[in-house]
Amino acid sequence: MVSVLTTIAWVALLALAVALEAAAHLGLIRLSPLAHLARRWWTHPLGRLALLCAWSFVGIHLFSRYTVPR
Amino acid sequence: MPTPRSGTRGPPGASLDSVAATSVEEHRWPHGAPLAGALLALAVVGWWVTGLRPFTATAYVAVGSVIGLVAALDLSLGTGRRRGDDAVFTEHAAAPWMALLVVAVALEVAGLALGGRSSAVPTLSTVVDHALGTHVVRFATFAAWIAVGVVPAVRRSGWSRC
Repeated sequence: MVSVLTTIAWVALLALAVALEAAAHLGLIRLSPLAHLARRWWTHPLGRLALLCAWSFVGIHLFSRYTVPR
Repeated sequence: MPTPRSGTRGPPGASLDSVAATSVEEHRWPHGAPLAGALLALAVVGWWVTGLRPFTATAYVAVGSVIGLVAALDLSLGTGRRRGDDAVFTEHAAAPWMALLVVAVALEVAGLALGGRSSAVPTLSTVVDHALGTHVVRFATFAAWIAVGVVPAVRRSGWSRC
């Protein structure tokens, strides 16, 4: 039961993030879209490095190290 | 893989706006048949990569090669800095993201503290693991991951047709 609730919590968090991003883009709420924050970081060398490292980690984690394809 | 025909930097001393304008004017990207061919090739590679077994040398080399190519593309395109990039982002405007991050980190730490593979409190990776159990979903996720890595840099370099 706890496992199901935790999974639901993760899905809810992801859905909330998507909803916040959409609302920010549409101007429905006062919030900086993640795309704008990433764009701002991208203009600085360390920010670019951090974004590339984060993106690389996600790729390696998802496609090289974790899920077993059926 | 599209490549720019010229560099992204303006002349020494040029203002940021003129650099951005130069970047927009100078980059030319394939369209039509070449673009379709590039996307098809990328799709074939993506299908192959997402079908590899994890923890194998082939999987590491394949994903590492993709990362290297995208990183080289991103770094070669420059920052494409534009007006408004330095706009003030107040703490108030970013507070919801911080709140989400805190909750996510707390859940992840709880899952990791229970061994990382706990059936009671699964980590985000464990949840995603189940979601990516099929090849089609893995491929779709791979496509989204590539898009996140490539599209923003291409857009900022100034997409224009030949």
